[in-house]
Amino acid sequence: MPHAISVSLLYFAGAFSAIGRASESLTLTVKDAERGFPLSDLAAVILERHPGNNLDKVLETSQWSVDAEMVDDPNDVYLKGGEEVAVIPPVSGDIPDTSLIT
Amino acid sequence: MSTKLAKDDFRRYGRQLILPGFGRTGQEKLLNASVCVVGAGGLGCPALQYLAAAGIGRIGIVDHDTISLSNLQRQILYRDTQIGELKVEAARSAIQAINAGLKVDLYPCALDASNSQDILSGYDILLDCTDNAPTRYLLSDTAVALGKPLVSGAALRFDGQLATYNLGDGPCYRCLYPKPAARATMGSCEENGILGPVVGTIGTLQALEAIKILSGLHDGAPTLLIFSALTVPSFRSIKLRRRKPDCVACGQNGKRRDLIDQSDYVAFCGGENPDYERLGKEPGDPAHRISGKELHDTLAGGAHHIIDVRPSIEFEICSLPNSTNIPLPELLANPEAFEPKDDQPLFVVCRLGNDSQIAAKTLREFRPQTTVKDLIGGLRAWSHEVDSSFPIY
Repeated sequence: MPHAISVSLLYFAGAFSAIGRASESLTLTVKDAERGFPLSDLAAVILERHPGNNLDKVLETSQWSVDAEMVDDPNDVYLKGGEEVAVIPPVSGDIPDTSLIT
Repeated sequence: MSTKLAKDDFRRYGRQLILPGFGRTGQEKLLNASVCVVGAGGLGCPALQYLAAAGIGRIGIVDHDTISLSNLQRQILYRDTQIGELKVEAARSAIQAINAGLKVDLYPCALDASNSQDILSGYDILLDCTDNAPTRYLLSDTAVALGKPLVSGAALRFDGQLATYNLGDGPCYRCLYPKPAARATMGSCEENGILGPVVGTIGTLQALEAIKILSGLHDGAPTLLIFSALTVPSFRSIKLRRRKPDCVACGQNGKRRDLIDQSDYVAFCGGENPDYERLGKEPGDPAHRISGKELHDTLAGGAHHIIDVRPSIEFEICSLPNSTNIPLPELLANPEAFEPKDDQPLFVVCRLGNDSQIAAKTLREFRPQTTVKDLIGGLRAWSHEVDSSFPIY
């Protein structure tokens, strides 16, 4: 049976600019109760929630951290609920704003 | 032969000499150490200042640029009187004024694949204080090839990041960010803002990180420190994974030196940054674009509308009289919304004359009856050609 879990999301740098907020709580539907919610599916959920900006490009080059640890391969990580997940884009200092022009 | 502390050094460095775990040994390590700071801008200035004051034996400074007025808000080693001077020379004077005994090597050039190993091989620690992605990847690859720790800082707007790469079995920059960040795909007149203390905080932390590594106080655990000035907590540490076994630079089959020779760093990061000021000044089709002088005369002549498509924060800084602000994203999202719907000529302006072209093209499609022109070179050109009292920012 599918059930719902809640995780908190942190958006840094370009992800913050694209979404316009630093954090939010997300409710996720877990289909496989044993494994949890696949981290590799989280980008799609975030994109659906925040359409109409170039967040997809930001997410493509960003890294995920879960509970303050950088994730090696999102395909190996499943969320059980209660985690703090961060979107960490590279900051280089020169990237023109990617959030405005679509 | 390692250099020992001179008599005056005991007083000069007394406050750090007495620190547990630092002591005379730590100070002598700094005295015999060398650090190369790549980029003498907003990150490099505070980093250099603290490295110099702490008594690093030899400091290298790499930067090809000269000081401009818009640097002074955050590049704290430079003075009003030094505009136009080479940053490396002004930085050397500033840090030698703090600590006259410092050895300082200057490299008034841009770091590229042909010189990075020669310049950086003579230093114990490298500081990435640059502001662009291609140099970040080059620096990381060079640090891997030379086997040196790279203390990397970055800052933008209200945010910053700090990480030390290639330290012990920690990752390199490529392990963490295999793909460079996406670039805006369309011509943008917008520039990124930065607050001085934000970039200063990160630059200061870079100096601290270098001092910790050199004096033996660093625990070696790879972490990424994320600073967000506007959120609570402002600092978060993310534990980094180890070196990626399949990393093209530092992994088991990593190419190291060969990677530097084979890489086109600029192309990898999306190509040259367009010169938006020059692009905005291209005259284009006279039916679609108008010069500052011509616009000035036209405005005096008759009824018209002026639309300013800059972000509202920039519109508040300065604007043409009787102009209406519709930021470009809003205008593109809803091009029909602009009132009134009369047929008076429409003039579109922005900062440099790129965004205004995009806006004008869209407006023309929705108002085929109306004359729509945009200002060549934007409000910057207006200031140069028509009204020198109009601010340039």
